[in-house]
Amino acid sequence: MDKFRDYIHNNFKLARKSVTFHFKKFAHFFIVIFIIQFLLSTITVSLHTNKLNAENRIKEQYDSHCVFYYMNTNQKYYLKKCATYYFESDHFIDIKSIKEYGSEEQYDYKCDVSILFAEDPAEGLEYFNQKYLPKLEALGPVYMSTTPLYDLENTLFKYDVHYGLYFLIAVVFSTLLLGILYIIRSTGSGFEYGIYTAFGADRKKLFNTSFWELAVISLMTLLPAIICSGIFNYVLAAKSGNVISIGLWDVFLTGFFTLIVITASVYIAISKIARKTPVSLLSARDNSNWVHSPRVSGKIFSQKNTLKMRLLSFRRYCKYYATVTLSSVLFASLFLCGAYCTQLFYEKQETVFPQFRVTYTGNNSYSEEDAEYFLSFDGIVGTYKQESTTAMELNEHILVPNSRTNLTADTVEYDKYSSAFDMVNYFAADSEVVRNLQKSKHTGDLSSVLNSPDTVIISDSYSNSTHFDFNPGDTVSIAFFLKALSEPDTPMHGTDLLEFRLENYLFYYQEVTIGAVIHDESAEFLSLYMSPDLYKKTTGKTPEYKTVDLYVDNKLSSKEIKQLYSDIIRINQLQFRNADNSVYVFTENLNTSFNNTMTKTTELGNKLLAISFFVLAFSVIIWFFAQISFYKRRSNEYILLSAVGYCPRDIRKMFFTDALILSIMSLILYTVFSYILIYAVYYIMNSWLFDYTVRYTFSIPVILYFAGAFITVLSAFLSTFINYTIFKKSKNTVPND
Amino acid sequence: MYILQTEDVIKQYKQYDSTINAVDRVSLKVEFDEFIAIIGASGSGKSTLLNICAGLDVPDAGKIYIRGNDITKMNPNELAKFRGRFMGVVFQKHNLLPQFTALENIVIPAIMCDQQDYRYEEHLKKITKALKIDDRLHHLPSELSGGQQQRVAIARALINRPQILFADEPTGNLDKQNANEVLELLLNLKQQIGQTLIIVTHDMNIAEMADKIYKMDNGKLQLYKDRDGYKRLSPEA
Repeated sequence: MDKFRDYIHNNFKLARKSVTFHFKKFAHFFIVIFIIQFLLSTITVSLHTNKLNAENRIKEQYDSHCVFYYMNTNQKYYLKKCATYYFESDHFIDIKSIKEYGSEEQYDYKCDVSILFAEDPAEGLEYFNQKYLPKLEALGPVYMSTTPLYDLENTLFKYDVHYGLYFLIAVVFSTLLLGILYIIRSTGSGFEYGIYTAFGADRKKLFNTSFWELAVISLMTLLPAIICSGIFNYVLAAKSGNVISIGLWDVFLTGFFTLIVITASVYIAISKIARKTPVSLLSARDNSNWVHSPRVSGKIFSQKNTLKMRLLSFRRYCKYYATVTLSSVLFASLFLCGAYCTQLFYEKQETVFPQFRVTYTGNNSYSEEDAEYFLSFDGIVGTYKQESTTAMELNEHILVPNSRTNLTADTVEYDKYSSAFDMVNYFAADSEVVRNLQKSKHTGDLSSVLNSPDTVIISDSYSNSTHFDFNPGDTVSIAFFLKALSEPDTPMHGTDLLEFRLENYLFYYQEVTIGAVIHDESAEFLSLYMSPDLYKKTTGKTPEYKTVDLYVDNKLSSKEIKQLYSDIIRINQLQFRNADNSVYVFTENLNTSFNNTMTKTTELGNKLLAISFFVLAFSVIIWFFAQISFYKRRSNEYILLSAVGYCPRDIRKMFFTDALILSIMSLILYTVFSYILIYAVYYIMNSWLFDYTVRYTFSIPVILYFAGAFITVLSAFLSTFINYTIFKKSKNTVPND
Repeated sequence: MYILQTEDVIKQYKQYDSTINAVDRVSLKVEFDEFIAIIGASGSGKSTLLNICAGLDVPDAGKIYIRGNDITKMNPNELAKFRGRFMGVVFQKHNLLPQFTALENIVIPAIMCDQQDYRYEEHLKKITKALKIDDRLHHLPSELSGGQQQRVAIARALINRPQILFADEPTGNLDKQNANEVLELLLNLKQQIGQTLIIVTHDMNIAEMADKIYKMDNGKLQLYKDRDGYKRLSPEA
């Protein structure tokens, strides 16, 4: 133990001396580690703040785990009995409230009973369902729904998972940044490591030396970073009316993850150094380790044109310029990518999701009259019914014109003019469906499908990506399956199966005209809306709607939504009854409004944007850190040029040209990288991390693009040109050995 | 057993379409306590050979045995430890770290090899006194003269009591008086500590003090003089 304490103490002492003595040399690392700790601390404080506030809000608004709706007198007393006598010690229930409709004496007396499980709610409910639900059902129809309080543990766990992911991303990016900086530093200061390795330092020793230096810095910046992060979180929390949660645990987590970042980045950098021979490291004192193609760039001094001369100089140090420009531009592009992610976050938040889902049981289904009934409730603004059949399951497909098909579509060539495609969902369109489609992005006349049996509405997308370029007036053919001549010997999928079907199945085709095209639909399959008659002909089924989603006015408060839900259930009990008096609808509260409010209060969008700006700061730091140390090691070159007759104006022109070339290069790379990264995020979000509820749009945040471009170009320019000022101020007129 | 033995060591540098043989099939055997001088014109490959023998650079082919251990088979970690324990290097350009004092520069090898045992301070005093830098230990390299800097570099090479000391033109940057002093010190210390000394030099006066002189020409190494006198060199050398 003493040995370990001595080891820590000695290393710490040496590193502290080195860091304080060479404070200027480590200034960049102070800034970078401060930013990393700020990010990590922001994530951990956000996690605890959001969890605390979510818990508070849920507990504030919901005092029960589940609600039994529309209970009769017997059921109410049975539940009361359960609460008083029947429940075993570890499965207590508590009746939190009883909302009564009428008085007990009335024959149609009903009430809503809210109950709270004393222990784990999931276990409690399971126990209740097993033991007491049958009796409760025997006393009358049971309609029960859980509340967000029931899912509290899950909700809080989701926060842990999400923020764990953010932690991982932050750690990876921070390691990347610190690793890049350390590699730039160690490539420039390789001489020092060369001496160490020449005199016996192995990888472990080199790692130790560097690790302790950064550990000392991180210890010095830890508290200031956490305080700043606390203030930042406080401002955002206050904006949403939240309270901030910050404690020792946040300090520990930030410190712990900083150590991980430092360890990983130093390990990466030192592994790179340790692979080099001491001789090659010793040559790093004068940038010669960066030199590339000296014979070509050797014509450097014969050039009269400054631009040509500097371009040759760039060629000579192309390895260095490529490393610095690419790494700093990468972070600038990540900034814009972060801004785009913020945009996606808001885009998802603005998407309207259904609040309630009504399911019909038995032979019952949703009708046009039901739509009017649901819309008669104050606060319900829309209904959305869903009933579809996929072409695949009917062994069918559609034929689309080749000229309207993108190369990315999973089609099979049918003939010279058309291709077959089977990832299609057939929908029956009526006036309600058409009314809902009016809200989507479309071209053409949507109502044409109601007037003409041979007219359809088609979407141009599937798998959340656009693959077709249909126009109103185009025609597609629907295949009707007749007979299979043979079946595949082995299981087949996708286009292979479609190809097989085309060769071995018999079809007849009906040409239909596209009346309207739905653009950028968020769906797994391509949607084809047709008249109910055509739907019946195609699928062999009469359109029947078993589920319907209800949308509510987004201005409704949580309390109003709870009341609306209670009203719907109560009145549904009267409205939807079979001949045997059993209720045939089931309404589920999806709690989307509450969840949306909770997400809004996390201020994730603002935090993401703020973090993106910090990532942009990484780019600036890399520029200045790398350029100043690089040109410092090149100072002899300029001193020598002065000595042989170059006047200050010529040298200033050189620096200016370098700065200009780098600025232009970085602007081009920033634009290209940003486009690629944003497109990658857009593609991943739509095609990989999809849930077919949101179709994200591809757009570059213009203002932030220009902000990033301005800062990138300015950093590239200033970090280069500032070296002229440094050179001018230096009194050296004789080159050093 | 030889302290240093090389077998057909080759080091080539490729420059565009031509290949330069910096070290061309060099085989060398050095006994314990021997003083070897390698002479040759600039660019003949002397320093490259010395760097390869000291494990600072890797050969393209061939074997190098130090105390019977093939250092070409060692991984960078093993080689670094081995180098720190058994070898000392004096560079032509001092290669002192400018941010550290003379004392800190000297103790770098001891720290890197965790060799700060109880004999360390005594040894430090002994060599710094012998090298006449004991009163300059707390000065930065920039505050020392060229000769003093080279002495600090020698002290750094000797701090771990290496069994074999490689010195690349240790007096190359010094005036005659300083050069003689440094050389005398090296020889005295060699006798006191009992180590093998391999020096690369231009200066025949220094080379003449060695037990054996090898001449390097276009990457090839030939024995030029031993205890029996001068040798006839083959024409290609």
